[in-house]
Amino acid sequence: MKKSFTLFGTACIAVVLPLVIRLVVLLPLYTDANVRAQTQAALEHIADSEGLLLSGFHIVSFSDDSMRVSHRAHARGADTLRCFTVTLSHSTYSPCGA
Amino acid sequence: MRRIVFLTVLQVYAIALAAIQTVSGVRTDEAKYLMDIPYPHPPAVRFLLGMFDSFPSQEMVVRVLFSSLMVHGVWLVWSMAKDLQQEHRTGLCMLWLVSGGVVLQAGTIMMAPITAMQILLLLFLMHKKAPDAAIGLVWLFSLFTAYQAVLFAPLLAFYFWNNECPLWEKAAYVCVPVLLLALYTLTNPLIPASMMIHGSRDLGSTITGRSLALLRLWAIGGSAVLSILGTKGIFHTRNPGLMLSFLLVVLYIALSRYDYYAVLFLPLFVGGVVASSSSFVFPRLNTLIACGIGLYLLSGFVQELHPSAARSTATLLRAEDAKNTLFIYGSFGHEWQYESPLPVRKMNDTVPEEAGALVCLETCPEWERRGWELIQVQPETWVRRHQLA
Repeated sequence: MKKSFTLFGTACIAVVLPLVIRLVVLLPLYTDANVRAQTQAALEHIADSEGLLLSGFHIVSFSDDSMRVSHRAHARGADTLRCFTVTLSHSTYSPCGA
Repeated sequence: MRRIVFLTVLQVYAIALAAIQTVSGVRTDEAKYLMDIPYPHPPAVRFLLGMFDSFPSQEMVVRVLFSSLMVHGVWLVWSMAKDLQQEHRTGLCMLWLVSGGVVLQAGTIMMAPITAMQILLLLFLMHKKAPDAAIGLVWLFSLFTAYQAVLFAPLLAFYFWNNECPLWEKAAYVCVPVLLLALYTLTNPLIPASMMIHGSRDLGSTITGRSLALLRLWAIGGSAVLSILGTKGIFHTRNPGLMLSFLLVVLYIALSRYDYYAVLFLPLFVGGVVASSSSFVFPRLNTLIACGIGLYLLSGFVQELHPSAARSTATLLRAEDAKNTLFIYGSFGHEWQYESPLPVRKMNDTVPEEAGALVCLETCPEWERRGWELIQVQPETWVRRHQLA
């Protein structure tokens, strides 16, 4: 195998690894239509109630009936970070660790 | 010495183009890239920009950087056109510099001009028979800069098709970056959602309307002259990669119709002229006409420039020394987050306690206005003068 192709292959592997890890976290969104609908409803509910923009949300993890999401309020300089634990079946949420 | 003079003149031109774009302030899409907001495009460039979003002159520095990349792209054009007669070579470089794509978009903080530059770089590397890995890596970086780079996949496919490397290697160079981009899209659900919203734009417009809009952008991209010469060259040379990419760009613009996609034609026009030098006739006359059109486009653009509502309101809020959080009533773009001196949040029908300023982009809801002062009528802007007990 040519040395130059090895360089290209290494770059591709460096890209694929974090993407696969992230995809595993998000797998319930793609395998369960119910989770997908509940997640969308929950994020819109938090955004509306807290006056947050949807673009700032990041799904951290899913577990049983809950998910953990973080929100980054994008701004110049340091962004304000918030974290919520969401109960999917009831669309209720609370700050992480509460 | 001559080269230094050229470099200086080009840099002054790049700074001037960037300075023009600063007048209207940061646009919604520009704000997304400057603050690394994770949609709609992949992160390669916006991540780098977002690292410096606390830098006070970030906007101007990035505008000058992007503008310089586009203007100094003329060196790549110059090198690619080395087989052309001197007069034609100089003419092609001038056509690049006065093309609508460069004149109108060089100083914007958008991904379309960066994609155009990346495709020009790819054409340059292919022209110079650069190592396959270099081309593959630029292709990977281009795709992870903006989705529209995928329109140029035929260029890569036909280049590697005629290459001597094994078939699996050819396939890997072209397809693996595209598959990685698809995987990236799956890991960011907001991106397909955003694409669905933008994909339905202008669905009701007629075929005539779409065709005229497409023709307009095709003409603007190369200031008409390079558009005609480049398109003639693309089809005269019968290079399947150039032709297919051109048709994909045409189709994409016909469906999406965003003005800033005009620049995507530009590297293809250059590729067309370089590949078919006989298509470049009357270089002096054509350059002169293109200069006139470039100037006309620029003067029309400058006349329409005015500071955005976000910028003028942010300036006012700074002057009024507003505190706490800015709440905005009605739909707003990310430029408000970028320009505002205060953290920005959406407001529903009630004014929260932590609100220090309020902007209504729709008719303001009723609320107890004691302690509030109206500081601007359009858009309606209020500042809290006294914190309520």
